Amino acid sequence: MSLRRRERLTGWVFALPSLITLGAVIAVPLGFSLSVSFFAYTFINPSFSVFLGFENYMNAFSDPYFWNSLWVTLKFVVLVVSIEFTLGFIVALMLNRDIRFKGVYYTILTMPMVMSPVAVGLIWKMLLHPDLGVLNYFLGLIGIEPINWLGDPTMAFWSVLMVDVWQQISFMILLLLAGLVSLPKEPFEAATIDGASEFQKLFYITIPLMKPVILAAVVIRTIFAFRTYDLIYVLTRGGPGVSTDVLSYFIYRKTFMGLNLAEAAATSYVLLGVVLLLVVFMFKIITSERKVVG
Amino acid sequence: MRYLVLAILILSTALYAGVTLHVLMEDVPETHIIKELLPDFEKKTGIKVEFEIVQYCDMHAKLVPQLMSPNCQYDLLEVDNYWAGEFPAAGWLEPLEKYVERDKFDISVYLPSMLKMVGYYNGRLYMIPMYNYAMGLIYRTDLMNDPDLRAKWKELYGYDMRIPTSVEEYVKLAEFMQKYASEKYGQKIYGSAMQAQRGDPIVMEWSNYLFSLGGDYYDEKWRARVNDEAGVKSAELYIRALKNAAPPGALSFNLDDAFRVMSQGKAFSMITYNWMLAQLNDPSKSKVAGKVGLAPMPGGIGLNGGWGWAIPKNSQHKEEAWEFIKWVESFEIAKKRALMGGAPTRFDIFTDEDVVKKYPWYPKVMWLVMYAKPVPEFQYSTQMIEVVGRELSLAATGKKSVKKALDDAAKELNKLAKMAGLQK
Amino acid sequence: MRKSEKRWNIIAHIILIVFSFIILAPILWTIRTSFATDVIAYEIPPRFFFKPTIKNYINILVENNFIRHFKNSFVVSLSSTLISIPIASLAGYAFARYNTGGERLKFTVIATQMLPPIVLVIPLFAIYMKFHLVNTLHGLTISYLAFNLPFLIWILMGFFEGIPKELEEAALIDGATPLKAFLKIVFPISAPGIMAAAVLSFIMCWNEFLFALVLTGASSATIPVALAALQTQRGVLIGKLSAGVVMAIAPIVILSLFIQKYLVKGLSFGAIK
Repeated sequence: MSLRRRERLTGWVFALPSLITLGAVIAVPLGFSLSVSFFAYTFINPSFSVFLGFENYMNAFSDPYFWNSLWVTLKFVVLVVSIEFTLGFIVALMLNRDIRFKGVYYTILTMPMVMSPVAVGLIWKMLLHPDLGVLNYFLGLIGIEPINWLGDPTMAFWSVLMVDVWQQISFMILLLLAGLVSLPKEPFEAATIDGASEFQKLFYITIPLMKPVILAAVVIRTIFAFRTYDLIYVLTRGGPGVSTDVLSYFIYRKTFMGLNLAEAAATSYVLLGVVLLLVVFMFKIITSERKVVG
Repeated sequence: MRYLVLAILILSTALYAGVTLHVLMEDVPETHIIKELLPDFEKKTGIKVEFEIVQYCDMHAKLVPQLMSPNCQYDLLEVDNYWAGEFPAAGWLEPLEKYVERDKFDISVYLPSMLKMVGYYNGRLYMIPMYNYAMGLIYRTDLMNDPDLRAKWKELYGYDMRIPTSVEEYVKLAEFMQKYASEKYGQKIYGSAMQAQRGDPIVMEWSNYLFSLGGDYYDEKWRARVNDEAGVKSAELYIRALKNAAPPGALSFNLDDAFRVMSQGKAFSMITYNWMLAQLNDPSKSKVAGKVGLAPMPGGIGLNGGWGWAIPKNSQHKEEAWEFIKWVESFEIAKKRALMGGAPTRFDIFTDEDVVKKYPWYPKVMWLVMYAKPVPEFQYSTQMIEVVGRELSLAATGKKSVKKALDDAAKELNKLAKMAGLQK
Repeated sequence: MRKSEKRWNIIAHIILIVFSFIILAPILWTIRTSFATDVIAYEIPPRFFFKPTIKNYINILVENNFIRHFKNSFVVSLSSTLISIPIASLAGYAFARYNTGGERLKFTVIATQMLPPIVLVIPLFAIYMKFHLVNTLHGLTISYLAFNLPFLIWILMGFFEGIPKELEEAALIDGATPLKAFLKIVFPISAPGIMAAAVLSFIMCWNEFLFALVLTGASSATIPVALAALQTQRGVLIGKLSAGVVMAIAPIVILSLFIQKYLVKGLSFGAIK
């Protein structure tokens, strides 16, 4: 057996347990939802008797509120992921330094992660209450007029974004810091001897070496950001108007309020296409650069 | 442990010994009251009862997959009137006539409005009314009786201040209070603690305006009529109240947010569930305890709401579930529930001497419930509420004109009625 | 050199203090709320000194059976993590090192996560009914593998790619099997990464809501389901909710203090690197 073939075989043997498990827990539900999306399958009439072809997909595309939700979702995802990544990376870099109280900072900064999103939403809703929330109260002490955090369509979007960043930045910090910690020390030592500045080290050593971890962190966070719905449900229910109506909440409503599982599934597969495009795009950007720099 | 179980089994003379009823409940005050009374039922019948308490908005997500499957984990359900059309239409509930007839269960004691709402669907009995949440006006009696404010009102409008009798008058009073009560007390007092969050909060509140102005969602032939004159007028008044007499954040308020404003003494009134009166009178939750009163919705017709007991068709223990309904809805237990702060659905409880002694306003609540009107009940009630909620919220934010928003809502409402086969 | 190092450390402290404050302030407020009655919780201007009450804690423990939900959450999260980590590590390693299945397989694995879980949970429920897995903790654990595995594979893949190939090649030349090379060399080097992945996996399960809502019953409900139920029709029980959040955070924070050294400091592999 050639070395290449042997390696390929080893790879498959290693991957197999995961693939089998995944096949067992996810293949059937996936297949079911895909086939449902081509039929007139609702909760009131759950049957595969009426084949619709692509009609459910066409219905999704012809709904103006679908396009609105898609736009809100894209805005939301791109913004939260880039803000969380940028801030999270800065914090992780700082935590990776040899400083005192590291453990204390770290514990505090990763705390929001263990709070369930519904609870986070409810607590923030209390803090953001325009009349009775402490945030407006403290801002008032320094002379800032009360802000209508969730009741104004434009502001509501940013408030939801802010709460999401507050909670999910922990994820980025945890993952990026773990990446930084596992980096080899030698290149940095060599660069220090050569007199490289901190910024040079960051751009020429840290970031290129961190590429795979950054990629994983950004991809996973992106996928999670697309799934955000509990926070939206608790804070705004997609309102005021349709200003925070993200697609996953849109699909949730189609399923449990519209009772139209077929249309919900069709919309979900459209969403899958969008996410996949975005992820492949990010993948291409991050990996292609690696070849140039590293 | 084993011996204990054995001992209980032997001791229990009841027919259904050993069965555990799984009941899905929402977290309404009544649920906790019933929970406290459960030992009585368990002692009488030997049937154990386990409540699973879920929040309203998750309940639907939890129930739908259960009801669709061949056998349901739950033997008994608490069903909201929003779903009172959907569940029977989907064939998920057990019709109850045969149980009622067999056991001579008296349903004539229930208020007709309750039976209509969470009892019958398409002429068949699927539920037994459990609990009401008809809406009305809760207002601050201290502000209403304030001599300065009364004088000011008379000066401005030429007649004595009174509990408003129409929606217009209510909005006018709310605007008045926001201006003059705030002035007098040197702090912001909003006219109406409104709940205009998109989804069911805004729809629930607006429905009171709509019904009181003679409007409705559909006409008798199931053609949408939210965009007729009454509909437009009610939405305009509603938005006027939002702009001039409500907290600026009201567009994102649900019941809880609005309740906090009211309970902190920062609002004059609230269109809300009648039993919120008890909450607002509880000093551990509210700063205005003892200073609030209840009146019917100005204009006369508030939104009716309620829960009913229902047995899923795929329940494993239908007889035991019925046994439970008989117990919990018996006069004795229903009265106990009411005395502990429950929201009754029966004439004889509303007017019971002891109950009235403890809650003097209950006869008033009974009238409120009698005249209140529910949202239309059909397969797509929840969807209908979603649509109307979205369009109202768009109109309130100024993204659409009132007329355009209601026209769009009507279009989708017609579609839903057609889908349900109600509109030819 | 020294000087710039020192200056950067000061900047680091400033940045970290600012961020810690932003993160901590709402949590401190939550702790305050957990000891307050509803009237005090929403009072503006806020009272800073009031007679604390532990009623919220007692209520949530007694009325809501919080210990049981905590135990459920813990058991499910821990077992799902313990099952996922070894098999996901192997797969992540295969993807990183042998490019098994190529880019297409990598993307297929992660693409399964791009559908909103809502459309998956209903068919899953139907299957679970058949196999009597509804309302059981092992059922929920299995369902969590569905999202745990793909994410872990991707995270671990990222970490394994960063490890120089030469290390295992040396071991392979010395006659070790690929599995042995993986276990003896790659696994220890990537300990911080694996630890971080494990923590993330635990937390993903810990916070998961929809599967838990649909697939559990009264006896198997997890913390997110229990906390969500505190939004009642008579209002949000904010005091109880805060108490629940505090009780859910506290043990995890204490736990994280113990495992932190793997996450923050890394292990010194200076010798091999």
